[in-house]
Amino acid sequence: MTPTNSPKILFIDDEPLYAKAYGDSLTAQGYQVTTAKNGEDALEKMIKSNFDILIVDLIMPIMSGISFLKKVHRKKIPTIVFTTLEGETDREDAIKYGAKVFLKKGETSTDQLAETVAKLLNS
Amino acid sequence: MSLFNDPNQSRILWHDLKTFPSAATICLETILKNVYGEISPQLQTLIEDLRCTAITQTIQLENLSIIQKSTLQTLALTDIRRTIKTDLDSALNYLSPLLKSKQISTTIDLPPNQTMNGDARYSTTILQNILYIIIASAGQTSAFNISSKSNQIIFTITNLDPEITPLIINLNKTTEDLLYTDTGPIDTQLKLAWFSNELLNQKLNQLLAYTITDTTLTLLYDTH
Repeated sequence: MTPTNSPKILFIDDEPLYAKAYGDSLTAQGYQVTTAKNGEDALEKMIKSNFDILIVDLIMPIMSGISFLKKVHRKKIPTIVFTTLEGETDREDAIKYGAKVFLKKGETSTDQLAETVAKLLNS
Repeated sequence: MSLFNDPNQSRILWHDLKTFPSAATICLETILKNVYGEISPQLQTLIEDLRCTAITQTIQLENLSIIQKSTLQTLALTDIRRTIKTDLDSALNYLSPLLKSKQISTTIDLPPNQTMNGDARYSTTILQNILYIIIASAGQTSAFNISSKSNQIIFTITNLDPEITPLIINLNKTTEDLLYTDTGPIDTQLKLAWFSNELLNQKLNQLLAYTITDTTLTLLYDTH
């Protein structure tokens, strides 16, 4: 059972397999993980709860990762962009809207993601 | 008009094609870490094999997408001098779960500033492909060494069969280079070699070692 005072992560990805695998792995490491399937879903979840870390995919239907970041960057929540794309424009936009770390989905192990989350929380 | 001719649609299409095998790799890794409960040794072996297949497919799709984009000149390949170790670290990092599952110890004896030319993304993908082939072919608890000698990088696995027949692919750097292209076509032979399933499934061959100089790519295969 995850303690209710453990850090809260919002994992935003339209691919349910990624959300499940990475999300369950982070939960097993003691975090409280909420998943959202696109930017709009994520905004609704943020109304109901505060989060300590955002993990955001860029390409999603309805509301993309960049559009979502534009709306929330003023909250200054540490953000990991977690994507398979490497376009320079995506990277520049994401940095502009508050992304601290870029990780490549699929190539980042669950341990590496957990390590990155821990570092961001401690910084 | 083909979907692949439109750069934006092509980008999305490749992204969609890579999603399942990439996501499957992580799901299977999570299962192997017993996040959903302990699994039996037989199931562990099966899931490990599935994960290897998913990694192979992801790498092959990445290769295909880079080759397709650079052939259509929609991908600008940059030619800069970089340290080899940076690309190797990146490729090995991706394959570290596989190294760990086979208990393969890796040593790297490279001067930290040894450099090579090429596009970072392309060379990392090629290295991932090569390293994957080597690691997938290796037995349990092999030792894997990456070293250099003048202009060569040498990848070796222990327990080499002494009766190997070298397979040499010569690539003239001034025309069709392994690691970068001036937006020209990539060597067809190399293209076929690197993403053909036949290479990976070829029962006679296991890639045991690989060397690259400025002009020559040498692959050593066990043909027995």
